Amino acid sequence: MASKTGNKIAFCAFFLATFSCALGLVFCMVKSPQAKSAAYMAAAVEASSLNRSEDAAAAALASVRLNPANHQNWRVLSQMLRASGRAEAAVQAHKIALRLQQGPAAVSPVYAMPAEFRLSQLVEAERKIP
Amino acid sequence: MIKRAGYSGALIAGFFSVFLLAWRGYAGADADWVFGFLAVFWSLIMMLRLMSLTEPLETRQVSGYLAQKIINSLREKQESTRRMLLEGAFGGSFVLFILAGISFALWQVFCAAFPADAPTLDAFSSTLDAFFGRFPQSSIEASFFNDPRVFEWSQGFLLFLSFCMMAFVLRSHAADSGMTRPALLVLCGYAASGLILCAGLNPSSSVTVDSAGLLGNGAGAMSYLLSTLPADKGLSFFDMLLLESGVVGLSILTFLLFVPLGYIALTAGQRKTDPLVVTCGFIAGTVLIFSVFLEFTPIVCGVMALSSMAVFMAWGASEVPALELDRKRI
Repeated sequence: MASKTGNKIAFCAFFLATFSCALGLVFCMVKSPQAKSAAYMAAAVEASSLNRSEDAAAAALASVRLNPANHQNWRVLSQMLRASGRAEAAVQAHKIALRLQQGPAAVSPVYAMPAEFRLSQLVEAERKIP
Repeated sequence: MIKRAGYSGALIAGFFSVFLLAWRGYAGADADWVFGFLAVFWSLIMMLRLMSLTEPLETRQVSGYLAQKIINSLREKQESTRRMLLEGAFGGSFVLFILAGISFALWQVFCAAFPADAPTLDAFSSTLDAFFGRFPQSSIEASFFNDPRVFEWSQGFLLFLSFCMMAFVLRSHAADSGMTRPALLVLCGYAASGLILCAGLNPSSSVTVDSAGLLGNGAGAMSYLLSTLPADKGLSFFDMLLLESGVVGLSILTFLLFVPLGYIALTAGQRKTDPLVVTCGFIAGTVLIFSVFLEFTPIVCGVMALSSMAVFMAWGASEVPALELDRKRI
């Protein structure tokens, strides 16, 4: 009886370890939206330097979709959109960048900011600008 | 010798995890792999420990009836000790701890699915929606893990799993009182020094309540809760929990800490545990509780992880004697 209980516990413990190992392996390969956003932005800058303005604008747009709290990404997007001939959208992106820049995002360190807080900065930026 | 090596390895792994967690705070999104790595790292250590507790013992054949009987008796005793150690480390109050952790994870999922204060985001969301509406939605950006909320929750769950495995390994080693006493003293010393360092240095403010905004995660009372916090205050772990998970999430996590501390107190009341273990357990628990109210920085995160290690070890050392183990034979 005691041996059966011990076997069950050992099985549960092995299951927990295996499950965690598999999940951990998956998460070693998954990147956060913030990291993906930075990668897209790098691709946008690269495409821009090769004069592929449409690709650059598309990559910059993907970057701001993934991390809309970063005002620098919005600023770059604005430039990319202007280069690809979409002046109206570029102006709107520039306005959003200005709003975010006046919010607290620029001065807040990354470590104390879970995703929800980063997103909530958008609300704060909206409030401060009449 | 191998037993001591295993014990030392588990402690070094714990210290390594503490440093990794603190470093992750500074590295930010560049170190997304840390939580996954910690889960893999601790799962391997846990598997090694499980193998050492479950592998069949070899039966040595000797000449002479009496000698063989003595050897068989010793083997049986060793087997039963290992079984009791496994049951003690993974059973008992540890089950309660895991259940509380799973309840917290479920509550987080509920909060993510039904955010209470979502309408407060509407003001800026409409501006963003109007902008993004100009462009077609890409399938790359609509992926499951691209939602920051899902990603943060998954990483938190991984961290909980890593802590569970760390708790199991340290609890299973804690029966060795010869190693546990000095290890606890060292851990408590570091934890208390870390707390004094963090509380005394009073680093500059990081995130204020203003910057935290009003996004409740389903807690349902964010406006009220925020009005009780000073606007220029740097957020502590307690504040962040309150903002993200509300009172319910906070209560579940408090219960999570209460399980080990309550068990240590219970056994101390029955005079079953070494007084040094009880003292160190409560010093570590107190440091952990104080750290929760300090401004959340990578160093405070490291101190919290270090204190958790000491609490797990004291918890294991308190629970194992209740099984009436023969300490010399573990």
